Amino acid sequence: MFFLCTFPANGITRLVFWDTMGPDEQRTMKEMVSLFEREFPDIKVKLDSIPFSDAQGKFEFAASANVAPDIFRCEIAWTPLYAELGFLAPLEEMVEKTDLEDFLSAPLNYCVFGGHLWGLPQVTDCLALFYNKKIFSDASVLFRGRVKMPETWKNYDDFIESALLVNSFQKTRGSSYWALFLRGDSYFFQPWLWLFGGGLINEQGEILIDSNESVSGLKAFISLKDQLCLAPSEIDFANDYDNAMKGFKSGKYAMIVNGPWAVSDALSGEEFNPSKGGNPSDFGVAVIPSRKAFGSPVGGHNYVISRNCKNKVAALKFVCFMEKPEVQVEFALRNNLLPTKKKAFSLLMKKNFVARDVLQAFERQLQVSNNRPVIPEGGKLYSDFTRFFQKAFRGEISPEDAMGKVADEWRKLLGHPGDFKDEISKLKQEIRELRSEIQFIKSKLTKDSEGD
Amino acid sequence: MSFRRRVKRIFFQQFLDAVSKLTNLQETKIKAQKENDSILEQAAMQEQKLLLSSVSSNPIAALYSKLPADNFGRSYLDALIFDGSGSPGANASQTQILARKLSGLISKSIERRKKILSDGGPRFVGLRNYFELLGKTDSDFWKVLWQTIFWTATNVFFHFLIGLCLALMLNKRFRGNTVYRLLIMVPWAVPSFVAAFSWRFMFNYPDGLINGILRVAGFNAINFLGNPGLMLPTCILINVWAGVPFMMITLLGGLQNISEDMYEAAKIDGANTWQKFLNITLPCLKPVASIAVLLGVIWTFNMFNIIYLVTLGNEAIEKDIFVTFAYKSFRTHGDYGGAAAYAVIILSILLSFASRYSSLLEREERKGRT
Repeated sequence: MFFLCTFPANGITRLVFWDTMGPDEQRTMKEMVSLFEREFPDIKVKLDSIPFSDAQGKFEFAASANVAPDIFRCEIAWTPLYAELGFLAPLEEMVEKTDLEDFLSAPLNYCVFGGHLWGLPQVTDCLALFYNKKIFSDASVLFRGRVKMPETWKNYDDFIESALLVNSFQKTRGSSYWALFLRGDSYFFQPWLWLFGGGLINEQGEILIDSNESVSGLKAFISLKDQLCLAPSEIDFANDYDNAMKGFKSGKYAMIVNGPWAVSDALSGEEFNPSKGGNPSDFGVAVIPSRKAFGSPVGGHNYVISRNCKNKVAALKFVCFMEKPEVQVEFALRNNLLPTKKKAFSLLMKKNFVARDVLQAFERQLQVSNNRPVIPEGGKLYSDFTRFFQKAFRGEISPEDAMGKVADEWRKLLGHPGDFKDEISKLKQEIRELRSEIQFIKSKLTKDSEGD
Repeated sequence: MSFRRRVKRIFFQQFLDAVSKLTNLQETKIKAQKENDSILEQAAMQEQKLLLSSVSSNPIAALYSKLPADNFGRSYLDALIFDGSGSPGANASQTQILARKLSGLISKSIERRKKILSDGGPRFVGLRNYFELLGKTDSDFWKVLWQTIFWTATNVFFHFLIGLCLALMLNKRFRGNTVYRLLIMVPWAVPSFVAAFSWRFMFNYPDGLINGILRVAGFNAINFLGNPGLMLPTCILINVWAGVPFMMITLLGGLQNISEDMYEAAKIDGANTWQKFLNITLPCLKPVASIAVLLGVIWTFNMFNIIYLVTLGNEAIEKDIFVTFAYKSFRTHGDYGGAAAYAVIILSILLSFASRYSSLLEREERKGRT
């Protein structure tokens, strides 16, 4: 035992880290790893880049065979799933409480499941409204200042009012120019889902997707394109992400909904790239307009330590190094990623850089964002949701039917307590028997005592 | 373990704890009453109340008890200590009898609960997965089955037709013959995922290459990949493009094996081109063609890349064939049992094709020998 404990201190601990980042982030990661190795010469970290699309399956297979990497960059939706499958090491006893308090609550929520802490948030994201300031100011000139800038919107009606004006301005430029582009993906629809107070699944496991509030949200979303004609009504679901970005970058669409991962891409477009004749300060990000409840889905990635990790202390050292505000700031500056620590945000605001306002807007949006359901099935919800959402988007079925069908599929997936009907009726029968028995005994007892 | 099972397990564990604690407290209460220890009795009652309130404020218990029509958990517990159904027992002996009676009932129900709890792991379900797929007439299975048949039949039909035409054309001796052959081989040489992504890019609505050509020609742009009805035909178009070279090269090999003598003999007999094709080319091509078609059926049936990659992002099932649907049911729904059932069905369909294929091969071999 003594040898086992002292061995890592004398020798060199080797850790394997599977990161699932894109090439730009990976460059930053490599530098950070070498910084870490300089600070902790007795720990060597082997950086394995696994493509994000394969990572889920690979980690599952590796973890089932007990050959999982020591540290893994785990998508938030996978974390509770892996925790339930027993692939991860709980960290609550190893991480200091003061350290935890500095994390933003929305991303940290995804690491907590079943009363344990399963990871630390590496990066967070949420959807926000991207808009083209130049189109807004041009429209404002045309309509004599009646167009309000997104920062000044007080409610959803302000958004509609301005969008209608911007749309009529865009129509003066051409028929394929629009105020808005709406994607046919349920994840990007969620801000509207929360618009009237609807939701996906609440903390008690109740399905809210077919509630009246959620259906009104879907109706409001569809009316944006069908009744108000603010966005193209026929879209290509297989290519709509690229089409949205392409149209926004070229000024065809004045507003789109997207996340911080798309900031660098947006800034490279002809409207915003100085080398292509654009102006980066025309790119604006604002909080998504809301009526009742604010809403934007929080996403991101966590660092998790797998259960078969030999030296969890060293692994945690690495994770904590990567969570340092300074390191997070590096990622934010180079890759426009949103930090998960409050200190990192305050550090960031002291610096001057292109996307500063953008990150500030995302921070505002993050404060009013919603968590996706933290359940093992969290990652599996969106496939059925998108399938029926797309049907409603195309007008093939009514919004009520679409949401009802999503709820049916989710019930199958989660096993709604409606499934226990038999069990509950059995229990009820039992209670009834119990009651009648009690009544019987009572009456007998009273008779007996009267008889006495 | 599913979410439902977890909630169930946690709830019942807590419920069992609460029940056993309550029973203990009840016994203490009875004992206290017997010994006229009012302080202990008070304490036990307090404890009982506390326990009850903690059970009802427990979120999992709350969830469980909120969903059924009436608050069964509460009424069960209420019934246990009688607060719900009336005043506590009038005297000690009465309570004692009741408690004994109740504890019997409780232990019976605890046994039942334990049985429910123990079936958390995997268990044998017999043919249930198959019944779920095949049994329901409204299940997606039948829709996907027809789509798979449509997909395979149209693809192989066009592969063969176009492949045969091209083979006949290239069988003639003319200048640049080899260059044409090489060019037609290109779709086969391109990795299928590269082809899928390029086609997806070209079919983009409204600004893709193909829609651009349509617009120049004076037509309206078509939403190929957003319209569920058009997705499968679009994928068929792409797969025909990708599958023709194989058919062409196989048939070309078959054509070159046909002896020139037969055509010359036919010519002397005065046969025209059509008669030569019908009576010499087709019969001589039959052995090669039937094997190529069978191979084509097996490959097309299992063609995953084109459909999956071209329509990625569109979740409609109007485009799905067995392989893509099975993938979806295990990857996104986690329904491993259902996906395995699909795999077995695909295997058995392909097995029948393969056995036919091998018997054909055998027959041809025998023919070749005689």
